Order: sequence, then structure tokens, then C-alpha cells
Amino acid sequence: MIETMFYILFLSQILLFSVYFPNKIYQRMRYVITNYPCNQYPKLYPQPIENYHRFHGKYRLANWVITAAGLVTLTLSIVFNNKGEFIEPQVLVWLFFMVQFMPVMMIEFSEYSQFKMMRTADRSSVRSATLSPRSIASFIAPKWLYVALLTLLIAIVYGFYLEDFTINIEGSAVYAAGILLFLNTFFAGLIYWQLYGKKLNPHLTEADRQKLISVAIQSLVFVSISASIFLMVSLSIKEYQLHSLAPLAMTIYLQVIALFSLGNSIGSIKVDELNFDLYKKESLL
Amino acid sequence: MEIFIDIDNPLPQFSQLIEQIKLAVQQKQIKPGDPLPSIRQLANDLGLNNKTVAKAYRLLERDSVIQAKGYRGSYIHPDAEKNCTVNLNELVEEKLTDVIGMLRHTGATDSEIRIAFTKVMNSDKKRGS
Repeated sequence: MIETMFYILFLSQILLFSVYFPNKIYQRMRYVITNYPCNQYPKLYPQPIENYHRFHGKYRLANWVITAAGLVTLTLSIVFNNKGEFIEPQVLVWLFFMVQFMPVMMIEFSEYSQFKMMRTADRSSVRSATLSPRSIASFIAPKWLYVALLTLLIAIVYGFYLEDFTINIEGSAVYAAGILLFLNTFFAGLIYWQLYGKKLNPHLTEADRQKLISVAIQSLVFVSISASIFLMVSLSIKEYQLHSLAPLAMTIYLQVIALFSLGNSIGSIKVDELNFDLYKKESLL
Repeated sequence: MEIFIDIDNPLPQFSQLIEQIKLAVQQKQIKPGDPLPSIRQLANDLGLNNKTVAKAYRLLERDSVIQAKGYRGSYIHPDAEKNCTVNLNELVEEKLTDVIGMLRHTGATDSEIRIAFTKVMNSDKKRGS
């Protein structure tokens, strides 16, 4: 029963992260290139247009290959009834997630280099800024920050509770607390960078920037809450010897964070609501 | 409310910043008590050096157009609107024109005035430090 559930959830992970979201992203990229063409929006395309078509093709191919690899892995797991003889199922799920994450990294790196080229090509001497301070409370309801902080504290205390509040450097509680603190510090750094860091896209309006910051901060806070809950579940699985549930917990967690990060970005940012007029040739900025 | 800096403008960037903030106050686009962005935020948004924005904030604070409230940041001064109309640069120019006119009238040459001005400024700076 648990095995069947695991196979179904692993299939769902393959389809969600390598078919559903990549398709949405691909459609969005094609939508932009079709509806905001380079002859009307030249500032949007600092590279020759063929490069964008080629990148879209590569992105799609990468996801097809990963999907095929995932389906083969799943089939082999079912056929050979892998219970950890070859590889621990939760490790397999995690490693496959890392592979699935590669096309997302492809997009991130490409976006970064795209903005860099936009800045180089930008001949405007006029720069703009808002006179309103940006604070985290403007982008997410403070109650969610409290929830994130509270779940973090509960997860850390719960870890030590399971070990009778003894501090053992090699114990699970210290390890879990270390991971959570590192992760949340990293997220805090990313939030700070989103709020006060340099504007990567030189043409981005303040209104659009605020939309993007809002989505990024919400995603980070929800992923932080999910991570704390996942760590509590993992510690409980270890404590109560429910090892068969570990792969299930892992794949559910990975899909939840995919929904909070990619799903939230795709769902919240509507392309047509962004201001593309700034990429036109005659735009002042 | 947005402000714009033209990096090709011969007017120094900190002066453009001061003028725009004062203009925003005079046009009531920002009101007394309104918070201002942090130095880092404004510098990064405008692609300027932190020191440039800090200098503008320092001068605005000197003119009582803004007030710093420690870690809480900078806010528009309660008397900002009134204080925006006082232009210290114009005042300095006006006073110096009077003094230089008077010195010329007494027969001092421009060169003597320049040397004396530099001497007074330098000795004043030394006393100050």
C-alpha cells in the first residue's frame, strides 16, 4: 500500500516538476516572444532573436529528457521492487529532484545574463527610484512571518525534545536545527537582497518590481514554513521507526515547495499585467 | 512618488537628489512625518554610491528638511515645507558678494582677497578639527 502510494507520488513529482510547470513556463516564454515581438519591443531582446528560440528549444528538450529518465527510473524501481538495496528511495527522490531542478537553474542563469546584457545595452542616462521605503511588511502579512518564526522554533525545540533536551553534536536535533538555521538565514539574505539589492532589470518599473518582490518573499516564507514542518515529520519518522514513510514525506515535501515557489510565481504573475511599454524603442526610460 | 537622476546632468548627483526631494515636499507629494527609503535602498535603485545618497541626506538634515531617527531611518521634518524655501547656497553667495564688494571698495585686489579667503577657510578648518 505504502509502496503503491510512493510510486504514485513519485510519478506525480515527475509530471509536476518536469511536465506541468515546464509546459507553463514554456508557454509563457512563447507568449512573450509572440505578443511582444522584437521589432516593437527591442529593449526586451538584447540578443539576436534566434538565441531565444534556441534557448526555448533547449529548455523543452531538457525537460523531455528528464521526464523520460524519471519514467525509466520509476519503472525500474517498480520492476526490481527497490527497497533500498540499490538506493534508498528517499535519496532517489531527492537526487531526481536535483536533476529536475536543472532546467530551472538554466532559466535563472539565462535571466541573469539577459539582465546583464540589458544593462550594457541601456543607453539612458536617466535613472528612477521610489521615495517610499520598502519593508517586508508591505509584501507579506506579518502573521505569516510570525508563523514562519514559530514553526522554526517549534521544529528546533521538538528536535531537542525527542532527544530529552540533551545536546549531542552528532544527534539529529543539532543536525536539524543547523539545517533549519542555515536555510532560514539564507532565505533572510535573499529577502534582504530582494528588498534592498540592486535592480537587475534596468527597465523594470517600481510597480512591477513590487509585484515580483511580493511573490518572491511569499514563496520564501512558505518554503521556510514547509521546511520546518518537513524536518519535524522527518524527526518523528526516525524517532518512531516509520522508515517506510520517509520516501513519501520526502516527495510530498518536494512537491509542496515546488507549488509554493514555481506554482506561486506562475499563478501570481500574469504576463499581461506587467508593463511592457518600457521595452519599446521610444520609451524614455 | 518617483524621483529621477540624470547622470549626464552637470549638476552633481547629490544636488539633483536634494532638489527633487525638496520639490516633492513643496508639491506636497511627500508630507511631514513620511518615511524616506534607506540610503542603501535609494543608492541601489539609482545605481549611485551610498556616499552620494548619504551626503544628500546629511545636507537635507542640516537644512531641517528631513530628520534621522536612528535605526528607524529618515523621515520628512515637521517644518520641511518652510525649510525647503531656505536656500543656503544662495545665502552664502549673497553674503560673499557683499563682503567681496566691500573689500574691493577698500582697495583690496582680487588676488589678495583670494589668498585671505583661503587662509581664513584653512585656519577655520584646522580649528574645527
